Amino acid sequence: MDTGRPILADTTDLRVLTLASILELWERAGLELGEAAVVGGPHPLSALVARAALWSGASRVMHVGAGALDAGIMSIEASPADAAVAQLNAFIAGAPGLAAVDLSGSSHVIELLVATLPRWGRLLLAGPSERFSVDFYNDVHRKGAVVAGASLDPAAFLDRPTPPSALLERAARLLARDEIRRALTAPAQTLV
Amino acid sequence: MPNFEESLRQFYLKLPEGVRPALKHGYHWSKLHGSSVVERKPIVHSHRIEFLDFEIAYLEEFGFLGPAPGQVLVDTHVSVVSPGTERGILVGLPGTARRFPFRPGYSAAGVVRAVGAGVTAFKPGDRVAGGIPHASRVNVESSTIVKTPDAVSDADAAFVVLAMIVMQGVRKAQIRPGERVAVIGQGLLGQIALRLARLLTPGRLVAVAATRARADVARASGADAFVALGETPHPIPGDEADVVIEIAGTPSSMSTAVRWATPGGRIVVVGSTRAVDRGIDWKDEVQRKRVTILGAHMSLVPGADTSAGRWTYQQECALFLDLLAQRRLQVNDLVTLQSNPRDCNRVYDRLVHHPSEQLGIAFQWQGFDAAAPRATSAPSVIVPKGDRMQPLRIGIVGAGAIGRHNAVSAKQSPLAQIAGVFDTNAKAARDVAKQVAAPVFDSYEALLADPGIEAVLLSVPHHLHREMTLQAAAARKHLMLEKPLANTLEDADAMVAACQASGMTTTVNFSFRYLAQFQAARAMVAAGALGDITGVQVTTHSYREYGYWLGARSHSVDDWRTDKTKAGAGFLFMNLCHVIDYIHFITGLKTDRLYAEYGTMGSPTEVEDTVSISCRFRNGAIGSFAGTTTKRGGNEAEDRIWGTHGSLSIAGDTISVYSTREIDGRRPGKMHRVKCATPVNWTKEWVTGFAQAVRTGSTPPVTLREGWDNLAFIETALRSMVDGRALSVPQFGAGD
Repeated sequence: MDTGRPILADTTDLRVLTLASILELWERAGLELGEAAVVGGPHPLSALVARAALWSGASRVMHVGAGALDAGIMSIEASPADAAVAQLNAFIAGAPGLAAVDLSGSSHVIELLVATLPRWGRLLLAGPSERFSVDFYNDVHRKGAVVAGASLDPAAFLDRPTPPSALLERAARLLARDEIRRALTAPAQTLV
Repeated sequence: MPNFEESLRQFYLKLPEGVRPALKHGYHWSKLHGSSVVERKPIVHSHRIEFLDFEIAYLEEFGFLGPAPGQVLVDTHVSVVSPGTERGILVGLPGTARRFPFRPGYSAAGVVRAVGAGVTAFKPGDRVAGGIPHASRVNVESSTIVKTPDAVSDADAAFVVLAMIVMQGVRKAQIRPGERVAVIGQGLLGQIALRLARLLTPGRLVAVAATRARADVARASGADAFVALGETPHPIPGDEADVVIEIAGTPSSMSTAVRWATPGGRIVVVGSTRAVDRGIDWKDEVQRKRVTILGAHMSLVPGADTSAGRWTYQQECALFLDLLAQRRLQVNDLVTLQSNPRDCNRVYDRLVHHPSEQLGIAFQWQGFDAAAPRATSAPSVIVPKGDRMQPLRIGIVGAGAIGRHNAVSAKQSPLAQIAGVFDTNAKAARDVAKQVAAPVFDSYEALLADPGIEAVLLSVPHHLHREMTLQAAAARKHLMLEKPLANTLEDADAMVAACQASGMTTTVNFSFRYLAQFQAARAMVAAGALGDITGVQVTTHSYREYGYWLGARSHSVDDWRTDKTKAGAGFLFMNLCHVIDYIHFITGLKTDRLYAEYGTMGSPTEVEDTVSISCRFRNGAIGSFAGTTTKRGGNEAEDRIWGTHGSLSIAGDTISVYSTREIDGRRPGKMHRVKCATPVNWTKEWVTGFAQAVRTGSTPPVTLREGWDNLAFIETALRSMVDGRALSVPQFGAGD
């Protein structure tokens, strides 16, 4: 019987590190049950990050970047900007909250995300961010929004002075579940 | 200075309780109709479920005006019962509302019928769900409802507020993927909690409950494991949970929750535990483990968006409906009872007394027909008439006061013909024979030898019952015997054996059963008005003059009633035996054991004239029978019977009945006085029932076996005082 207890050896598994890194992103972004989530890409792990948003309780997930991720996640192109803003606003309109993670570092994508952040929205910058323009008064201050820096580097996870063991244990426990393991081992473009 | 409403309330409270309901009804009626005229709004008619008192639900008709500004008038289609809250109010758990009438229900779906001024979010025809009570049509504040998506059925949407209560608790738990989650309590809300927690991808999801009864449904709700506290009261080390959702709502569930929390874990209190708890080891289970306990009552959910992470009522409701529409959540399988609101009294009765029987209960209001008849009790007792049968030819034996009454009454039966009369007192026999137009026989033997006599009706002194019954059996006559069956169980056994061997039909005169009030009381009990009977108290007081004991009423030369050898017993055999019989008849109970005190307190007889008996029935109910024939100042008698759902008392021809159940269309929670004034000749009915049994070959309405049981009760009472202890009542055929 699956007791849910992690096997400690698994914490050195790269998959565990990858999953723990991604989960940590959404926790830092404060993603809550029922909120909408947006992933800015492209990035090799975009699909997994989007899938992890659903595991974390997101009611819907949108990917902003080139190419579709999988059947369960909506994708839009970042250009043209007006169309992207309209699509993002429509996506966000029905949700009471939004957490976004940018993996692309693209100023174009980040500016789109900042401009469409709703009241109380959170944006985590986890890619190699370029310089970008931001209307702090209207898009951050008036909205009560949060913009924070982060990184997605599984390999560096264990180099921290204090590795978050609880997070690693949770990731290892999740890997014991078939559906999670399948998602992590499937080719990035076919994750469902 | 008190305002007008307060003055009115004070005046109302000074009124006698009996007149208050009518006055209150009149006040509200006048107020409603007056407002209708002043505001020029039509009165909307509706039905709603009300809790009238503890354990009493009832469907009430009511009227109200259309929606006020900010309100929406909703036609309800489906409402879902909140089992913990609604049962808690019905049984009066600590912390619940204790004022009645109470109007339950807060989670339902329907369609907008009209909107009040200023309401722009809804329009007539919109499908909505939200904080709607159990009512067919009602005004609600627009802020308490949300639109139902097209993809979501009313049956699913009706769960909206129940689910929202759980959702805000799950949200406060901040479950992170991979965490171990335990849900304490596997009722309706517990199942919803499992399903919502599953959306957050826990590493392990454990369902915890008192028993295994809900193991299958918990697994269907996504639980990885099920723990029955009866088998596993403590978690296996290492099996504790990072997040514990307490949703059982029992006083002990918090102790369970802290046991199940891992060091550093969070406990979210979603269930309403409704009791002060001292069972938690705070130092070791909470402080040392650094456990956090979070309160999560739905009243904490804000009405408006105030800060990050503070989801509003409408947002939580909308999210639930969105999850349903996306098919990421399912609830329709949680409804195990769909009920017509007209049956609410019975539905809540089951919820009160069998809380684990149903998981989810939904009332179907769409197409609800208030005019349809409500469920009624069992059919009333039908006294057979059988007027197409040949009359039974009866020989009257004994022409004293009781014999005369029996003869005259029997003659009135369409199924009886008095074919002869005999008494050792020839004059008494002639008088009765003349009255019933029948021949006089010179001896009992001659009467028995007459082939024209099919049955004998014996109304003779008690000590003669045995021998005269054996003679009747030997002569193959059907037998109608005045009570008691015999003076001793030994005599009774011999009589029963002889009658069984003869193959003839037999009965004992416990005809008081046919009185309308006892028939009606039996029907009420059979219909469940009292529930399980838990108590009986009988008092019967009268005065018998000296002449009664000396045979003056019968113009008899024999004062057998004063002789213990002949009479066997006094008040018990002569009067109380009837009460003992009809109480058992009404309740359907059997007596298990009893203790009696009795004595001769003022009558010229060797037998008792005053009795007090305490007894326990086989179902556990406690009873007492007390009475005397020495009380001056008028006859008084009252029979009180009560049970888990009501009580009744019989005084004269009137029954006062109170029930938490709706029986025969009577409003529950109210004392009803039922007058049973229809004149009944109980002896005639007894004779008719017996004659019909003879003609049809069926069991007579009063059997010799019941006469035996009655005698067993009385003989045990007589012995118990002599022995000075409680005694078990012998059972028929047990050889006692």
